[in-house]
Amino acid sequence: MEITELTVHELQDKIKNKELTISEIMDSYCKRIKENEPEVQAFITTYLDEAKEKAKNIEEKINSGKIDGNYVGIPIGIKDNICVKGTKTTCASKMLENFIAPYSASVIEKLDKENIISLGKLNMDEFAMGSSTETSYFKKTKNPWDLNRVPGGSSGGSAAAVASNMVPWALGSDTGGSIRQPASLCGVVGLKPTYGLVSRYGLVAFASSLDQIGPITKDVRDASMLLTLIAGKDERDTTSVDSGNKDYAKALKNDVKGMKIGIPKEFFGKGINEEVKQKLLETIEIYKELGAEIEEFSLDIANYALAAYYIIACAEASSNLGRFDGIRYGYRTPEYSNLKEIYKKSRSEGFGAEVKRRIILGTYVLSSGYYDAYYKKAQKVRTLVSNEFNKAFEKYDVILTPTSPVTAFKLGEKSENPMEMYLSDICTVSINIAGIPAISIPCGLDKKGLPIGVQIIGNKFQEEKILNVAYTLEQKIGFREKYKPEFKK
Amino acid sequence: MSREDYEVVVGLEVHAELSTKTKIFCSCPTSFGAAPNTHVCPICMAMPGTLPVLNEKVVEYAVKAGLATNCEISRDSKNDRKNYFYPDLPKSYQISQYDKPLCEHGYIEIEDKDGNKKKIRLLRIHIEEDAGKLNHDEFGRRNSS
Repeated sequence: MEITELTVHELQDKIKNKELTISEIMDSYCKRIKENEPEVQAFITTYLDEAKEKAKNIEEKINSGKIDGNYVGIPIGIKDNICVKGTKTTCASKMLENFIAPYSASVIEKLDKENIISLGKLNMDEFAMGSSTETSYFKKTKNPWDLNRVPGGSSGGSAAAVASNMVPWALGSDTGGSIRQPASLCGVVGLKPTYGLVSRYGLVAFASSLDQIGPITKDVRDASMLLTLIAGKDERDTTSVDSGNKDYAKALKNDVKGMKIGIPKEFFGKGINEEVKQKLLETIEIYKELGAEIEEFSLDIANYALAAYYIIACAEASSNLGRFDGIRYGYRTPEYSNLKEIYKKSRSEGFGAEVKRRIILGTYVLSSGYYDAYYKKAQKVRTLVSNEFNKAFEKYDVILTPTSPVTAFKLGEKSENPMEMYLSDICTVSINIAGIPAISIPCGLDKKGLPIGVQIIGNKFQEEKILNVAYTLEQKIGFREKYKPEFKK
Repeated sequence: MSREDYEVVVGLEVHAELSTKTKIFCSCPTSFGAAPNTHVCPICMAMPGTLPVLNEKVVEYAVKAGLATNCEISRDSKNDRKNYFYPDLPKSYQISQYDKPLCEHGYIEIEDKDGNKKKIRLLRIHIEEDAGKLNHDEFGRRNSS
């Protein structure tokens, strides 16, 4: 097996057994990126030379006994909406094309403390708005399973980089499905933690009440390890919560006997591709064999949640993106004669079409006279969605649904039709609306050879449960051992 | 109508700058007279990704003012964003309070010239940030705050 095909926990074992050095690992990844990046286009910025240099320095420090730790020298990739001090953080926007972050996000400080080495910043939909990574100002990332298809989004660069072995794991962010949907389309693991479990300080805000940073990895064990590293109370994010410094890897028991899994029938109905549905039904059978108790129930919220989501997310975005006005940083129009023109032209020229669409929608729903009809009503729907989930979790340990209604679609296939693109998030947005955690793991391929993802949803701060349920399935079906991306042209 | 038919109604909006050591949403000092760009940080510069953390002292002072003026102190309060574009408003919204201020329905008692007691009602006390200043230089390409 190639070095770059290994998971992080496999790399750790090989480092411990002196089969691999940190420099060897780093060199393999740099080589892999040089070979694959021209095809996959997952990165906005790479720092390969710096990463190699860091690896060398760290290796010397390890050899002289100055540092140690389980994660020293492990490479990672970072979605380009997470600030890393002294490097470009573009949010895949012309607006921030040359923005160099003057500080690091809290999650980055945590990774730095472990001496984890970043290989670069990963492509995404502009300001995380999209489901295909096609709204990026810089490039279109390709799906490693079929290069004519999208990797999903908005964390498409993160998912494609992990799937194509250019990084062993990556950080993404999820506002309405932006970690789970690309993980599903690229055949990797993606976890959206409970709102508040991971600090948002340093994550460029899209919709503050929905955004969460989370791991995209090759397997569930790696996801549990990366979550352990980034979770916890941060005094710079007052919505972050003390989760008690859990080691999430300890939750992986490879046993679901007696666990109650709820199947919401509305998530298997209209709009869900038939092959996706069949694979999900097979997956449910596997859980039955593994001793879980399966029950179908009604959770008729998906359509309401999607409508509420696009009101709330756009409203918050219109406020959050106001700061990009051409005054202090970011893009400023070259020609202007007064203040209003600086604002108008800088924002018109600096933002792409999807970002503008959402700012306009959001400003509209927040404007006086419409606030009660749209925003307030959406917040009420939000409470109802939360209540429905609360009721469900009185009966079930976890809920199982498809992650995405379809497998990876072709580049350009949906980019002309926003409504169709928004439906990509139909299975994922209600989780953000309710603030609960969910994980997507691959459960098989469709006839075209494209990955299908299953989503396991848990109650607030029940990451251990969903990780274990996902892990048990992963061990049973062995997706990663059976299938590899083909880079089909 | 004669002048006597009119009733004078006076309302005051009073802004008080609190004597806290640091700003309301970050730990930058509030003292005057320092060199430009020294009492700023990513948070008050509204750098992308930053978040505000409320200064506890501000809440304490506001509640004290509320107690001194016979207000009801809200047990459930929140901050709101007031969105508008202005060059000295780096986030493009002011963090203020709209429908749930910290203190409401207060009054202070005064005596008129005949010694009659009179209540002057106080509608609300809320907390908010206020812009510092932004100096734009002659060429408009660089600025300091």
